[in-house]
Amino acid sequence: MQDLQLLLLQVPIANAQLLLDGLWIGAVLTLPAAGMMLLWRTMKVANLAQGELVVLGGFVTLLVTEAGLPPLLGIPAAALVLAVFGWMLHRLLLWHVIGTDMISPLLATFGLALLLRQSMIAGFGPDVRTVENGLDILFPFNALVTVPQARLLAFILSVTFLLALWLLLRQTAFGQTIHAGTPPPCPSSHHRDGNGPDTERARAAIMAINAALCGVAGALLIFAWSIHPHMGLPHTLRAFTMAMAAMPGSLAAIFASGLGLSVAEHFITFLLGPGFQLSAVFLLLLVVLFGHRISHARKPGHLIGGQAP
Amino acid sequence: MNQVPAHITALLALLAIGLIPPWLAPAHLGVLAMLWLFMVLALSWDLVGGQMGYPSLGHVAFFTLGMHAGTLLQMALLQPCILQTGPATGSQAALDTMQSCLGLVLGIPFGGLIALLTALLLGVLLLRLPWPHFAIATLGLAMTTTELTTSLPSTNSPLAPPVILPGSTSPQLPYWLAFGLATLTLTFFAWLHASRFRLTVNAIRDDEHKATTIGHPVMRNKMIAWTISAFFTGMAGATFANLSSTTPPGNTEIGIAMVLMVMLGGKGTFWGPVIGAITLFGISELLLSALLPGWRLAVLAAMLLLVTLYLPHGIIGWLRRHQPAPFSPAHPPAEPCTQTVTQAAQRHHV
Repeated sequence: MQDLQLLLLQVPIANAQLLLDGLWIGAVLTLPAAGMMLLWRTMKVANLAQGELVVLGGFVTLLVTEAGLPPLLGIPAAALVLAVFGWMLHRLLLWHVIGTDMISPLLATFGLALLLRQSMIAGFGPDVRTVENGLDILFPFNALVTVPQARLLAFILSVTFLLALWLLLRQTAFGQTIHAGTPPPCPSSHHRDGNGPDTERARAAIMAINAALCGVAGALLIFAWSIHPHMGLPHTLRAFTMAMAAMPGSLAAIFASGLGLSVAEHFITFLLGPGFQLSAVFLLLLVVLFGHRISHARKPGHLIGGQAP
Repeated sequence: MNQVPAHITALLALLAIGLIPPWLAPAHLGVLAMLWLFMVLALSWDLVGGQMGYPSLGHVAFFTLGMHAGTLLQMALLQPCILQTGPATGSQAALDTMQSCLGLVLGIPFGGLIALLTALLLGVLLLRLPWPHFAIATLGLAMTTTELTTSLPSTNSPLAPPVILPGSTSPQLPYWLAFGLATLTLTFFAWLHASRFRLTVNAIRDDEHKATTIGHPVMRNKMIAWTISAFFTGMAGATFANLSSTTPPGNTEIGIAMVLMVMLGGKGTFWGPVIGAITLFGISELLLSALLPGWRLAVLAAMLLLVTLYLPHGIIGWLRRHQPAPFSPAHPPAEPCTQTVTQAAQRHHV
């Protein structure tokens, strides 16, 4: 109550601060959300390890900076490493379960998420990590609002990467088949489920793209904010919530929903208190899931468990 | 029909085996109590995740709730107990103290009750979602429960778990509590497995839309299964608080163990979760106990991944494929009718 009064009456500029904070990080988190949407559209897979891939990207950047290289080089490094990792993940493990039923990929990625998390804790330690970015803080609006340059840069870079993804989807042949929602070239007959090597390669490529998106997000997060291994699950839920809110939308819709949900999360956390941040994530997840269900139920011919993701 | 007595015999044998440890292996009672709790957890998760097809990935939230609720009640009841316990003059005084302090075990059904009520409130929302959304929402539930319970007195006060009941220094009472809960659970779920309700729950898993169309009260059935599951999980949590173990498994470990046990044993069956619980317990105690909790969690996660990829129907599924006779379900799915009309008529007359 007191916080609400603070926001509405006493210090209205605090609203601007919360809004901006939400926008910067929201843009970064849009990248794994776009990846989630991609995976859903092509493979009907909800990747529960998405957040862990993000954190992994952050740790790759950490290694890059510890090797003495400039932190921004961590972005392509993370993208590359995670792309290879995503490819291997599909080719070695996930091809068994993708396309069979729907419960197996869910449980497999659930186990994978925990495995990745524990591996990162074992390899890097459970602490919060960040990277020295050497950038300043801006003080617009007569120094009532703080805008760290690193976060502004992260915002700009995220938008750039989203645009690059959009171009990939629109302008390349591979991208257009993804955009249409079907996995590329024709299956040959003698494989599991009638999926030939071309389809599996295409799926691996899509997983690689998804992992690269997560890696870039992680690199930006450690650059301008911080990461730690336990952040994986909240990021997975955030990515899922953003993708759900934009379903079945375009990248622009994901971007808008990502920003909106992130800002909402900041406001809710401010009002409830810092010990309720995860509860805010959960609350928004429930709101979006129910909004989705209500809007779907209004459409005629709606089937339970029909084509809804 | 021959299978029904075999099931019951096996169950009675299992329960009889549970009576042995206090005499033969009193030093290991704390550890063995965990085995019984594993069975409770596996069976209760399977009802929602295996029989109903709604994998509740955050079911450990009910375990946590039951643990905290049970502990808080026991702490509240412990205070007057401590006041009553003076220097014991003779066995009569000790007995009176024991009797007055037995109310402490009330924490266990109370923990189950709180879990049940929470499930009731949340189920109204969560069970209306399609099951993939439900699974992800339960992840959020577990995450939120962990966040909200970190500041409760049951985690921070000096009386926090394990609550040692006065007058009983041996670990026998916690073992009997765990074994008692497991007996109750095994009997209940064996009955449930043979009941018609179980078939209606399976119908939800197999084709929810069709079940709704033919008139099943699907939402009501989902709520019943979900609250039953939460109740037993909550009681397991409250019982867990009474076990004094040197390295108790953490909440995440319990959470993944629940899913792993059922997947390992074979989801959607009665013996699957039980076998999975025994197997996981064996692996955990014999191979993993020397590991640090972080490594143990990693191994469990890797096991879940491998089981999902390579053994999706669990041990029971594997056994059914290789030794169909003893392990197939008592009511196999109807075979396609291959008889001609005259053959069928002849059979009918005979």
